[in-house]
Amino acid sequence: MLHIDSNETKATIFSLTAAIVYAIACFWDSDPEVYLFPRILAVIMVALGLVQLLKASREKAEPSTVPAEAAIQWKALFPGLAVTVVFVLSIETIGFYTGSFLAFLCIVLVYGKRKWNDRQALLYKSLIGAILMLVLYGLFWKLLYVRTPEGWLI
Amino acid sequence: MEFLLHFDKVFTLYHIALLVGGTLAGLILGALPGLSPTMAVALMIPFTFHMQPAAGLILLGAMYTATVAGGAISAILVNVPGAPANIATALDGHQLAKTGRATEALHYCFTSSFIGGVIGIFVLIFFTPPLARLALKFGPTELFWIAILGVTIIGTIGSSSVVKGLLAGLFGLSLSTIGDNPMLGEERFVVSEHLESGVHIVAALIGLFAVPQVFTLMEQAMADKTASIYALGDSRLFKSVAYNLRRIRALSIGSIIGIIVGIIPGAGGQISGLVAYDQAKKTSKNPSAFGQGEPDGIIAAESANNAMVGPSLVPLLTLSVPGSPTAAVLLGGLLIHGLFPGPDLFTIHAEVTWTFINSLLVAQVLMLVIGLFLSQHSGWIMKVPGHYMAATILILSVFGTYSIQSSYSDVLIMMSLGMLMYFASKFGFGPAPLVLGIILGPIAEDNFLQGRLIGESGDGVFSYFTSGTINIVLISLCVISIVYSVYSGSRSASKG
Repeated sequence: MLHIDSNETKATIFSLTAAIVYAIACFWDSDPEVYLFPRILAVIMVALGLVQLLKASREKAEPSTVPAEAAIQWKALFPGLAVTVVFVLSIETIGFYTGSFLAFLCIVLVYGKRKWNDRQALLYKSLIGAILMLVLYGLFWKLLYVRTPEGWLI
Repeated sequence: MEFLLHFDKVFTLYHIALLVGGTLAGLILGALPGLSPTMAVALMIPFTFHMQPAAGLILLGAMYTATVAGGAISAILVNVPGAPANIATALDGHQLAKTGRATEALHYCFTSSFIGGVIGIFVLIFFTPPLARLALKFGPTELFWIAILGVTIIGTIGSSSVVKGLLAGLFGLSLSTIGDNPMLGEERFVVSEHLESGVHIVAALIGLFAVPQVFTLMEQAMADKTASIYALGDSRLFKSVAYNLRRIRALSIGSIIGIIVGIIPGAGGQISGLVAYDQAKKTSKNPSAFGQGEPDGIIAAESANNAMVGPSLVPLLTLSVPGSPTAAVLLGGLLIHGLFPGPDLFTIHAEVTWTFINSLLVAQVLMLVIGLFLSQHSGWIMKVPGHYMAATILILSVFGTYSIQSSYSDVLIMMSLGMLMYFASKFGFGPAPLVLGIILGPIAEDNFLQGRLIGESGDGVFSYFTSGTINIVLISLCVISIVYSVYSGSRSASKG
């Protein structure tokens, strides 16, 4: 019997869904010659997903407890995840170095111990971020001629 | 003794600067809790992209060597292993630190890492060329089975669950099929313009290894997990080095076990330290001292960790089957420089290959010297806050991925894979089989399609793929690795 709270069940749903989606993409209205190798992979993946399902269904009646480090700490993760997504989506528009500086500052402010309105901390963290960006800019843009997305700024 | 002919190429100013920089950066990155050697090497690969192959590989090799040893610093000082390979080091190292002998423990750590490391590199030097010559006999079917063996071994031995490990390897293989079909050139799974060029190896490496680490560091930063650092204490360098050299039994156990574990594909350094520690304890006259600050525990564990580095490259450089997850990442580094494992490395690319291998020897010496120096001043490394590391790794990940081919699509792919990997890791999936699947996927598919064409014009495809001594040996090894992992998994489940 499947226990929805169990980590094994979640792993099974995760892997079996991915395997089925891949299999559908391989077999649905596609050229067998072009998709031969992916089709073989898809069949094995679905078979292994079913083995995983069998394994999860044989779990003991009590669902296994998820260790603290294995559980997703949504509250802690969400701000960082949001900053990451905005950073990645905006670098082409505002430029890599500006975007990186803002992302760096947001992360160290959100996850730092001191409060947002602490001016001294804000100044200190901005300074570290600016130094990091200057080092990266000097090293890569000027020395190694590695180009990054420029956008409005740099 | 061909390696001696290329020794002088290591000693150019540029290469020495790379070795010193790579070793220092590797020791510091390795010492930061939570930053694994695999992640450090993956993050460094894009920066080698613009270098000559030899220079790039020298930097990656130095990082690999130093991060493994550097992980012992945090294991000893704050009881948080810098990498899983350093778990055994923490058992006695931290006990010594508690009694004000942290510097002495670090001296043992770097001296034994150096001895084990040098022995391991000599195994690499003498075992690799004959094995590479064997690879000359490989045709499409053998290469196909080698690729499958690589995914199977790292998916089974290197993972907590056989099924999850194999599934991760297969997901990696399936990701490698995005883009053009290698024979017919027609597009597959290109549902967005960003997928037109498929999944670039480096984007996958960074996404799978570095991005999940960023999110883990963020979680830990919010939980405010700070560790207390004990006083480093005074230690006479020459006295502790001389003591270390006299511990021949612990050094031998560590080095031999490190070599054996390293040469077994997929096993990796994560277990070599623990196995060596266990054996040193069992054969000790005073086993009860282990866990209480026994130097032999550190010596055996650290010599094993670094003795594993060289041998883990033997199956990699000859058969493209990595001996550890970090070696799998190094395979990506070889491929982006146009170097394909096998006999060509020791014929066409002999100069680059031998320069790289010789540089690993020099890196061991630098690791010893810089490591012993850092032993006196390593406390500050532990004070770098996790959220600063998270922000810096995030920026370097995006920069490193973009810089490969100035492609924003690579950045999006890297980030998507990284986020998926973070959530998948919570369900027990590891990144190493996935990465190896992506790297070995094109090799498996190309050779499968070639073998199929040859088989169809002869005795049949099935017969072609399953006949011949090497094919049978490789298929048997695939089966053995799966059966052994299922057996050992069920045994440990019944025990626990």
